[in-house]
Amino acid sequence: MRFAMAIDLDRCIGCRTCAVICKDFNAQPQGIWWNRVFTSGTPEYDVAVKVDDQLRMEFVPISCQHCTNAPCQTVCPTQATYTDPDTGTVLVDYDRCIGCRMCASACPYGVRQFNWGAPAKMAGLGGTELEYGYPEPYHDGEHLVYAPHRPEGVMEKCTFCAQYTSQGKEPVCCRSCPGNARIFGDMDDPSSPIRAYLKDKEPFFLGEEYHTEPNIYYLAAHKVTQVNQVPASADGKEA
Amino acid sequence: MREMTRRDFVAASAGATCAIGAALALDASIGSAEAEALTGSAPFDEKWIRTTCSPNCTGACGMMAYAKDGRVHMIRQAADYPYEHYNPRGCLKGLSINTMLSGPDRLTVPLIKDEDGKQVETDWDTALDTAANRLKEIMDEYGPESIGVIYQVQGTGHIQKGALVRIANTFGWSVIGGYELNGDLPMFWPETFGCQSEELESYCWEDSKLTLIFGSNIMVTRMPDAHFLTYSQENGGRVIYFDPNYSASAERADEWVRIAPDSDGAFALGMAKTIIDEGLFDEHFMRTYTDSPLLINTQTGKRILADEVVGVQAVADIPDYRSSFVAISQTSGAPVATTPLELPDNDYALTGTYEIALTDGSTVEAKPAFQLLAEQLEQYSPDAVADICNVDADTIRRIARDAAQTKPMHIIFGGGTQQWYHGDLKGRACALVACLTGNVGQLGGGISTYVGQYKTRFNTASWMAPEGSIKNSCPFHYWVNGPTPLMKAKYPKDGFKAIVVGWGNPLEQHNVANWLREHVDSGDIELFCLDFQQTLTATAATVTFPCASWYEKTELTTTPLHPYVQLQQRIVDPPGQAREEIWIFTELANRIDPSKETLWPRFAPEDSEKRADEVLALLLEKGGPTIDHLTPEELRHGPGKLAHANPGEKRIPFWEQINERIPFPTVSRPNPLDATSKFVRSGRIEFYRDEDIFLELGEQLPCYKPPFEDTEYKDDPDARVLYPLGYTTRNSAFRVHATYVNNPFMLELQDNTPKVWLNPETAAERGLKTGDWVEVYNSRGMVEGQLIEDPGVYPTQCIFDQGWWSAYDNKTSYNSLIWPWINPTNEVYYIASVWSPNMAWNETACNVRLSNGGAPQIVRDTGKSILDGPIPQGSGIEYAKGAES
Repeated sequence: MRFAMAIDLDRCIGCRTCAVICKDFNAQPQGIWWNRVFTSGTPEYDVAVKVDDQLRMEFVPISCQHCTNAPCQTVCPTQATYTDPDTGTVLVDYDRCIGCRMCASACPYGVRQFNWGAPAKMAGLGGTELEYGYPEPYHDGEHLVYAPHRPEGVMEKCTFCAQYTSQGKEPVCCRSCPGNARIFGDMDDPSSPIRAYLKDKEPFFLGEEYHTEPNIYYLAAHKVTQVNQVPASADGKEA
Repeated sequence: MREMTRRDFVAASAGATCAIGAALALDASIGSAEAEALTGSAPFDEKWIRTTCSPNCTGACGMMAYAKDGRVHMIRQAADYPYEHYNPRGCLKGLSINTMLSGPDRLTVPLIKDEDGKQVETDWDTALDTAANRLKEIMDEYGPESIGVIYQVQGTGHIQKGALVRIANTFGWSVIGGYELNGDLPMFWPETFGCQSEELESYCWEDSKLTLIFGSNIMVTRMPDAHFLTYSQENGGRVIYFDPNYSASAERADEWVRIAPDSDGAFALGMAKTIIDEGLFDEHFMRTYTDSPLLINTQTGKRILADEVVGVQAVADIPDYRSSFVAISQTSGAPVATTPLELPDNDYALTGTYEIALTDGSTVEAKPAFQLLAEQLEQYSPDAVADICNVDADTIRRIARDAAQTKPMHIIFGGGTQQWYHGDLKGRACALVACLTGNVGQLGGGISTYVGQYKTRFNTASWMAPEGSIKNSCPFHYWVNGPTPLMKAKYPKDGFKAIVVGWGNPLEQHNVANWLREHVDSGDIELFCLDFQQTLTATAATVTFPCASWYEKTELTTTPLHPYVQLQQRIVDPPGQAREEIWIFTELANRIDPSKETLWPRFAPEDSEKRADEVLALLLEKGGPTIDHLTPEELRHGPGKLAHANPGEKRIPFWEQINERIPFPTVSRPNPLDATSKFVRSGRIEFYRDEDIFLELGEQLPCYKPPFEDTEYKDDPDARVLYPLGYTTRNSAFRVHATYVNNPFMLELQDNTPKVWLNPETAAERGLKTGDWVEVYNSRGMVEGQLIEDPGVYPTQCIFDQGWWSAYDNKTSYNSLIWPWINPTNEVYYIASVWSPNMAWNETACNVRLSNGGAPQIVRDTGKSILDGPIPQGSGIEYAKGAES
């Protein structure tokens, strides 16, 4: 099997539901986002960007690309980062991670998220700690690849929701996308939904120049016709 | 059993790592009531249970929640709608409300004000008695109508929220229609179609071949439905989006038309002119279903009644709320009476000028309404409106032809377009396009508005209107403006003294929020509040009752966006002393007046679920033909579908009118049809209104009127110079109004920072740049925020994302700038939430300057852990306790 995900940017509305449910289900501490949705060309949300004289708001969800040729794995001195041979999923063993952050430097996608010290606890009702997310640790064989309470100083990132995919469920971002823009499946299986979805389409990969061979397939969004731009400094009308 | 979906991906490809996959792959299709173990490999005792996420939005999204130790840990979409394309339904906000259900801002204890006016914790008996005694005193002294009631919106909860309506009707408190208060009432609907509104449910969008969206940022404000527009595009349909500002919805459209602010009506009139001039209009539709053929006396501007015309006899046996008017038969050339009782095919003339002999002996000149419309449109040629809209005439012509020749064509008329002083004129113009093109009554066609979860989709009187009901209501507009000469609503003789508010936060969310704060601070208005979060309103109330969230009670919900009736269910107990509203109101009613126990049989708090079940059964049984086929048992399992009249799966608005020729309007529940039929006395869609104020203002036909002239500039001529920007408080992706503002995930996505969007040029003119801390201000108020330069913002616009609690914004309020203008045409009749003054949020002028102060601590702490100093209000950000920064 080779797990993969297609992200159809023509269906993405930039709502960030994928990012939020990912954070919630995977108990990501403050500041940690395995899955983020950027607007190309700006660090802000809800901002248009001039592209070739047209305004655009191109949403780009980015999480671990689960590269077949993963630079993060190559540089890891402890083999904490490894590829699950059964699925091709790139995982991090929290027990082995020493927090050296080599992987973060090596990753061209900036998706690795580091716990500086002990993860922040979230305040709950009446001074309690708020618990959220999948409540038990998950081991892939010997490897601890998910823990609701993160060990101190470990690197973390998208696991394709290993604790769910191992049970025949889709990663939560794919299950929850209100636009059905994220399609998960097994590229080795011709009957898999992702194969059907990608059929006759022309996916592209992020950072193809890095030769990382990602397993996240992006489909491009259509262009928007904009015939009546407000010319710069030519608009003197009152609202 | 539902067919396998792609969500069950491994089931179809069982592999090495999913030995148990086959057994568990039914995840999404398991009957929702059969609670599902979390996983096979992790044998948790607790279960996933279905509920419905239903804050004050139009979503009503089925959710499954996983609870452990009495707390909700994870929420996912139930994805169990029989119509597969509705799955999965639910957005980032609802899916992460677990952070708030047991968060630091959760209300768990009743609160009252002590002798010093300081709020303190108390027990239920004291809280209830205090509220009951004070409310009784106010009722005795000033009359029950001096107590205003804000119950949010009915569709979001018929049982528990319905209990507030029931208690209001029990005592005669004044219900404040949330629909008009929130600016959600599209007044063009009653003015044109005679009903509160009608709309396509969102799954009809995929049937449209052309969708014109005027000022509705669907991709942000209707997230769970947005994909139906995408599916429409994938089916070969096209989407044209009209908005001064670029947005996610512009990005997903096929074409974005950057229309000048508040000029949508002019654009639609330019389209109508083109469609008529080029002979592209549906003459049969206009003649049969609209008032186009009805004769207007050109001297008086009034429609001519059949009884007034020599040789014509009015249609017999028509009710008081109907009128028999006159049209010219093309066959005979003579005037004939039109029937308001049906919509027959006819040979009436649409054009021409006629001499009509009246029974009073006079002869008058008369023209069909369509003739007057055509004459009126002379001033709205594409060339003429191009300047108003800042769109070239060819584009207007092209889109007009496209709209006329592509079927089905659907117009989405959004809040951004509607919530102006002259919003109704724009709606009437857009409705004209929908009718000229014959799209009304067609699957995937017509015109829709989706502002608010207002719609009452079944009969609710069995619960909300108890025996001996006293129904009072008065719009909030009159609280602020005072009574007006044309007011039809009932204003309390001594004014308003108290607000009983459930699930709402008027001190943040009402227009002129500062006005209300001042009146509460001074004691002029007392607050009694029910909520589950510690809002500003909850902390300012005389009594605050902590109540249950939609994961902690039984509640019945519907929405205009989909046809499913759903339940909220108790997944966990309400925390602390929080209790279901139905128990709170039962106790309150009995403590105000013990003689009401027959209407409000008492029960112990632990029996609240049982009582809610009884009301659920009652509502379904007495709910009428749209809902009475559903049973509580079915709804405990998952969504039940409302019944509709037309054949086929999807409800088609006005199908009965177009196909069965039943006169307009459709019913606007909870009002009987008789109460609203007078809005369209001809039984037809009416583009011509002849009430005096419409004639006086020259608004008898759809026309264009510019923004601010009748409001800001009339009020203060200097405003033209002092406040040259239009102020738009748009809805954010991260909040539903002020709900979810303290959701820590949402805060993090926004850098914990309220922001102000300006075009780079507009910013430069003021010497401002991205990152500056600025003030948006006018003569009424001011709000702060961090400036974002955005070339997508129209140069004369200023945007603030509404919903920020003032605790996050140096105590400033974005609503302090906004005034509740009253348009006199909205006062011709009064039926709460159907024909009423409506909130025109966008009719606000402002300016922007650098702030003398600076970003509040809460913003400067962005990204840092907050270890010290509790933030008393809006402390959701405080979730990083214990972190090392």
